[in-house]
Order: sequence, then C-alpha cells, then structure tokens
Amino acid sequence: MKESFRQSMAWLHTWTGLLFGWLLFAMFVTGTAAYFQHEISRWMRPELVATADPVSATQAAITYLRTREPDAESWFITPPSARNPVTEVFWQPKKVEGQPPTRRKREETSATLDGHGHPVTVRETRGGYFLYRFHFDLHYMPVMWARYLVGAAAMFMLVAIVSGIITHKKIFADFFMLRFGKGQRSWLDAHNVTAVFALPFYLMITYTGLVTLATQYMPWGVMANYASTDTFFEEVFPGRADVPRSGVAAPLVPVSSLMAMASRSWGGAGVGFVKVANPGDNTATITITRAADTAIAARGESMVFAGPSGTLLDRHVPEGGALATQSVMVGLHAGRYAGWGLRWLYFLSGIGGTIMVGSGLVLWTVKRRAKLPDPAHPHFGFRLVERLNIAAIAGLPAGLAAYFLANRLLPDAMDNRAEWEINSLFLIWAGVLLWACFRPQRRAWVESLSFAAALFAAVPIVNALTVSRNMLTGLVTGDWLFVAFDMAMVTLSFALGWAARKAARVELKATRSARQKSKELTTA
Amino acid sequence: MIHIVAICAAILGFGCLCAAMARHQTDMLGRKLPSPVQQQFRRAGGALLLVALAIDMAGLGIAYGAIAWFGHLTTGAVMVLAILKWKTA
Repeated sequence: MKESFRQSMAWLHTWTGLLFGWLLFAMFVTGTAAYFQHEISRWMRPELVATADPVSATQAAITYLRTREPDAESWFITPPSARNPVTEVFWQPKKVEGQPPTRRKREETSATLDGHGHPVTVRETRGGYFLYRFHFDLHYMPVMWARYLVGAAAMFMLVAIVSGIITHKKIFADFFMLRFGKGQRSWLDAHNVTAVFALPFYLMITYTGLVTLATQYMPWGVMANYASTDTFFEEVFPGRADVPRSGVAAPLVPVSSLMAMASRSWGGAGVGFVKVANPGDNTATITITRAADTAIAARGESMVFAGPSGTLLDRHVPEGGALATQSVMVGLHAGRYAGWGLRWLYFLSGIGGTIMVGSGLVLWTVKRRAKLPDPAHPHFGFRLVERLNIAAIAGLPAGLAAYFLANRLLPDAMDNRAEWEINSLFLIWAGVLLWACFRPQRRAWVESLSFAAALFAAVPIVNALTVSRNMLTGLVTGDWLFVAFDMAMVTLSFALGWAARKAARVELKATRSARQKSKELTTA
Repeated sequence: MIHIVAICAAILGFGCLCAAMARHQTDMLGRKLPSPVQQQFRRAGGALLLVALAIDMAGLGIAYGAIAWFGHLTTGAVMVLAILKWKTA
C-alpha cells in the first residue's frame, strides 16, 4: 500500500515527537522559567533588598578586588541592574609558572557584593541561573554531551513542527476548534490550538536555539578555516588575548568616567560587564561591554581602555552580516532585550509550548489505548510511555516546587547547600517516576498531579513562615516581586489541582464502567 | 499601554475572523450571516490585525514592535477562544 505524503508526515510527527518529547518538555519548562531567571534568583535570595548605583558599585567592587586579589590575571565585574540588585564579581587567579591551572570551587574565585563593595551574607543558591543552565546543559552529566542531546532534541522538535504543520489539514478552518469532554478529540484539539496559536514563537525559539550552539553542532566551517576554535573566537570576539605583565606597578584610573563615556557613545545604554586585565600593572586594560537589555542583538559592543591612563585603545562593534544575523537570533531566543510586557508574552508563549508538548505526549497514549488488543494489560512499550509521561508532566513541576521549598528549608550553614537544592529537585522528580511505575496508571496521574499542586501551594506558606517578605507584606510595601511570585505559585497550584481533578473524574468513570462490565459478566 | 491597545486590536481582529466562520457564527453573534457580510467580517478582521501591527511598530519601534505583534496575536487569539468557550458554556 502506498502511503500518502500527509500520512508519512503524520508518522514522522508522531515518532519524532515521542522520542524526544520528555526532554523537550523539561527544556520548555526550565527555559520558560529562565525568562524570569533574575526574578527567581532574587526570590531565592530574599536577604538582598537594596539596589545600588551601577557606576559607584563597580568602583567599589574594584576597591574590594584590589585588596583581595591584587595579582589576579583578570577581574570580571557584573554591575547591579534593574533586575539584579548586587554586583557579581569573579576573577581568574594568577597562573603559577610550570603548573597547569587548578580547578577551583566557585566560591574561591567569585563573590557577591553590595553597592559599597562589601561581600553580602546570603544563602548559598544557584537561583534562577540553574534553571537557565539546565535547559541546555542539563545536570549530572558532562556539558558537551548534554548539549549534543539537547541539540538533537531541538532538531527533532524542528522536524516535528514542520511535519506537524503538514499533518494538520485544517489549520485555518479549525483555528478556534476546542471541544471539551470528547476524549481523544479534545486532546487533539488542545494540542492543535496550543500549537497553532503560538506557532511563530515555536519556530523561532527552536531554530534560534540551535543557532546559539551552532559552532558546536556544525564545527566544520570553523575547522576548515582556522587552526583551532580558539583562533576563531579570538578573531570574532577580539580582546581576549593575554598580554604578559610588565612588572611595573601602576594604579587604575577611576572607572566611573570610562563607564560614563562608554554609555554616552551607546546612546545612553547601560554597562553590562567590566573586565580588568592585569590589574595593578602598567599593561592593565579595562574592557567595558554594553548591557544586553538595550538592543535585540545579543552581542553587545565593547570599548577597551588603557588601565593607567584611561585612553581609548579599541572600540569593538560586531561586524559582518553573518555575525549580525547570529547575534539577532541569539538575542531573540534569550529575550534579554525584552521589557516587562514582552517578557510576559515570551513567558506565556513558553507555557503554551509546554502545554503543546505535554498534550502531544498524552495524545500518543490516548490514541493507542482503545486500539490495544487488551486495554487492561498494555504491552511494555505502551506502559513505558504512560509512566514517563506522568514522570515528566507531573514530576518535573513537583521537582521545581521542591527546588523552591528547599531554598527556604535547608539550613543556611549547610555544606554544598546550593547543590542540595538542586538534588532536592531531582530527588522529588525521581520519586514521582518511581511512584508512577508502581501505581495503577490512572491513580498515578491523580496522585502525582495532586502532589505537585500541594507542593506549589506549600511554597507561599513556607515562604511566609521562614522569611519576612511575602505577598501580604509585598502588597503593603510595594515589593511586587514577592507578590508576583506567590501569585505564580498559587496559579500553578490551581492549574495542577484542576488537572488532578479532571484526571480523577476520568478515573472514576473508568472504574465505574469496569465494575459495570464485571457485574454484567457475573450476571450473564 | 501599547501592549494593551495592540492586544485589544488583536482581539477585535480575531473576533471578526471568528464571526466570519460559518461554524462559530451562531455562538459568537447568535445568528447566521449572509455571505457578503461574512466576507466583510473577514476583511475587517484581517485589517484589524494589521492595525495591531501598525500600533506596535509606531509605539514600540519597527523591530521591537514586529516581535511584540506575534505575542499580541497569540494573546488575542487565546482571548477570543476564551470568549467563544464562555459563550457556549
């Protein structure tokens, strides 16, 4: 029998979607959360309240680094911004001759400072940054492998989108088609509606996601033209070359006038990043990079100044059509330029993508259950998909809530505290997977979804009991971040609770009809 | 503010497009439309979506506005679907 083109596309859509569906679901959840990574980080470090002026904070950070790490190879400073109240600094320690650079712990080469250059005492956490990194680096595995895996998933996503568009016969005729309470038909409607409504976003986010790691996935262009990838990056993003120290000491000029000058030449845009190479030496340079929140293109311009004199040495603007295109694509993906309105639109589109992937996964089982030879005892593959669906769709949100709860409940002085927050996420996630494996499928859905809903409901309560900032105090003092976060937790809790109730109704109906059937059998 | 205005235009636009579809007319308007009127609704809907684009580009800049427009279209379509479900519930 010759298959039609559309049928073969439907096959492709079904199986590419299924194979990476669970990973894609996790990428959509954490990637969507990452649009608010700074806000999540602020919530997870409730001790930080005051904001500081970026220019004086940078100067204060330099004073701190001069006392603490005078011979470092270089200092890296991220000034405070509207979305992050503290100065983040890290440094590259001095290399010892003849010794390979030793791997050091994060806290040995970095610090978080307030506006006056004093280290802040704050609970150890990786905050929203972890969720951002997880959506392309995963966890507990080498980053390079993770990125190949994530890249393969994104490639399959692109295939699933294109084949999905071809499979969906009536994109326009069925545009507003959503029928409730019709089993498989309803799942298909939900999948279609979430897919079609934000289709341009999914195409953009998947394609640009691949572009962000294109040099890893398609290295051959670079390999053919450059001796090593380092030489390539050196040419594309100059200013990385290390100049040896001369040994002649020279003080740094105040950084404030340089920052003001850079900001003026970028039409008032803020400073995103300051790097000081060879600090304290007369070969010192200060590189100032434009903040990413003022232009769509992600790769900001930078200016290089001589450390002792403050004269402008170099001005770097990304050049060439290819680089500009890549820069805009990465910018579109990360959305760092987006203001509040657009950021929420990104976030809601991301939620749409999460529902699209989730409903697609469920649809796979709904469609096949009726056709099983013995629906009461499905084969192994079917059961595997069922259980993984529960683990992904209910388990990951539960893990996310556990991550937030762990942030409030783990003791401040705990060793490896930040890592244990992350472990909590995966422990709960794995727990839900195990639970789903040993419970009847329909019960497992109800229980896992209720569990996730309960954990999200617990977040505002535990927060109110452990720290002094919450929704109520926020409403009084205008601390909108804490109001919004609690609201988001309550909304997620309601949404998961609603899903649990729906699942419970289905379960009730199924047990009733099963009872009916067995009764008929016994009376017959 | 621009976001809200553009979303309103998108809701009106998708609302007209939805009302122009035979299967949703009774739900949206309570009656069937003759086909020339249906045609007018369709044109008005398309025009309103372009108006949303114009509002976005004028208010937020050409590039930024174009990106925001896609988000506003999504929001508008979701709202119209919500209205449709609410009217039939």
